[in-house]
Amino acid sequence: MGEKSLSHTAAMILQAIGAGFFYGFSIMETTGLPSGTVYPALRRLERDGLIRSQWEKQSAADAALRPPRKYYKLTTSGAATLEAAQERYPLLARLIPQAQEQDV
Amino acid sequence: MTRRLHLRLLRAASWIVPRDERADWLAEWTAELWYVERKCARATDFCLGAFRDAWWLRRYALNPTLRHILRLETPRQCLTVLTAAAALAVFFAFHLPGARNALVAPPYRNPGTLMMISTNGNPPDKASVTAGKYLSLAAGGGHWLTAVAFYQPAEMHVRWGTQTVAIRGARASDGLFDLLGVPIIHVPHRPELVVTESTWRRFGERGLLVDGRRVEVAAIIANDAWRLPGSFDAWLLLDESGLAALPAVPEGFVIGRGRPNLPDRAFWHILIPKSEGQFYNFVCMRPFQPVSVVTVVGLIFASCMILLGTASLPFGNYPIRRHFPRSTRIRRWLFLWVKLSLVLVILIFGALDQVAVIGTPISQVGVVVFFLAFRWVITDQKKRCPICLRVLANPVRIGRPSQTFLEWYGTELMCTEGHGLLHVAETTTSYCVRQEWTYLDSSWSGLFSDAAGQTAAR
Repeated sequence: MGEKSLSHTAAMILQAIGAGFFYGFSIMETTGLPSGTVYPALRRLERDGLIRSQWEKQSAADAALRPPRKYYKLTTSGAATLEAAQERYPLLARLIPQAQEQDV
Repeated sequence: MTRRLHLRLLRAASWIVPRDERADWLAEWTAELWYVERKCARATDFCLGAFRDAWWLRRYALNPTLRHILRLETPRQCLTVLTAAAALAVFFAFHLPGARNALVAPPYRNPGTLMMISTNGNPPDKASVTAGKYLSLAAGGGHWLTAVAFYQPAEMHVRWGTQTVAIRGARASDGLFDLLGVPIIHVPHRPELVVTESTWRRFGERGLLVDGRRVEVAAIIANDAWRLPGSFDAWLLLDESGLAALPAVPEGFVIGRGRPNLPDRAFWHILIPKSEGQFYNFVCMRPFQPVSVVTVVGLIFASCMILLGTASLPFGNYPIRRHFPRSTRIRRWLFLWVKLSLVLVILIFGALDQVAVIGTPISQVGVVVFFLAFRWVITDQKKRCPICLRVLANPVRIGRPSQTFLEWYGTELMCTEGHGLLHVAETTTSYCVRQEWTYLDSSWSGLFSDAAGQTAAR
């Protein structure tokens, strides 16, 4: 499977998901990108099979007293693409380090 | 209160999203809003971003081929869409009666002095005059008009052999074709019928039985000779007593020939006394007004003036490179001029179509439309790669406003074929006046080898 070239923005979002920021708002907060950039980019990445999305269970959300989140996860292809993007943009990993705590 | 506003914004944006994805989309954005409202105060900005996301989904829901065509991404797609639009505008201009009359002179004597006359505030292309009102106008309108004629649409039944055939007919005053300047041979003591060529070919007889009466074909006119409102196969000519006996419904049309000394106005009113203190109010309008070259040139000139004052016209700095042949630069300029020519065709013929459909003359709105179209031609050219003429992709914002005195900040776009990068400054500075193009050499080609990847990165 051939690697896919990513724009810097898409690479940042992929890195954020890879680093453990799994839902839209946390990605926005981490990358500093506006909502009008992050969400369409998530749709594109999902369309291209680099990430997949899944709603969390209502019971989990109820237990945490918050609305359910739509989580985004890297696919195998997405993980390979992120690896290639990290080689191309070495600062990516330093810009967005691993998430310490996933909850808000 | 604010939360309600935000939810309304999201709900409004959700109408843009395709129906099958709408509920899921709205649920995600509403859930995310909960976090935004708790973490920061810019929830309104967040909600406005939803419109962009919704629009992206709507665009993606289109057929991929159609989506690419609508983006006018390649020069071929751009010129194909513009050519199709221009062809449609020209086609309608030659087929809509109002537009065609402005382009092709009708086969009538002095068409400029002809006037369509309506009453009760109706437009002249709508049947609004009864035979009775027409006779009042014919008797009292001599001060303004040298002649008037009337016609009333009515289905006619022609007895042909053993069968009866229905045709689109009109009952008309006997002076109708004399007024238009179409020669006919009047037949004494018999109702006269004027038919189109195709109707003549269909029946092929001089004497016909129409609605139970024997009539004589007095003239045959070309199929496209009739340029007035209504579409007819035959006209039954009636004298004054025949017209007086016509029913008031359906109403008909009145055509008149204005006196040469009438002022050159788009329309005017004629009042004809009806009874003590009461008048018939007739509105006259010229149906055959040729395209005014002065108006068109004026529109182009005015919109160019607005363009000069409001838009940045220079295309930017594109350093000339030896390995890009001169033909590439010529191709770029040729593309611009072809695009501009096609847009002009669309604008001029589209304006004629608009006049024919809506009925209002080209006005100040025309200047705005011309200006916007010219502006689009320039901005479209600016956002294309100078080598392959494709629309540039992957806009990335670089720098921050605080860098203004140290380095430029703005947007960088790239050619997906790998020909180069375009730097567009956010604000004009002494060292960055125009957009700058940077060519990429062959060492960058590895980045652009995966066509699928280009799509992903857009």
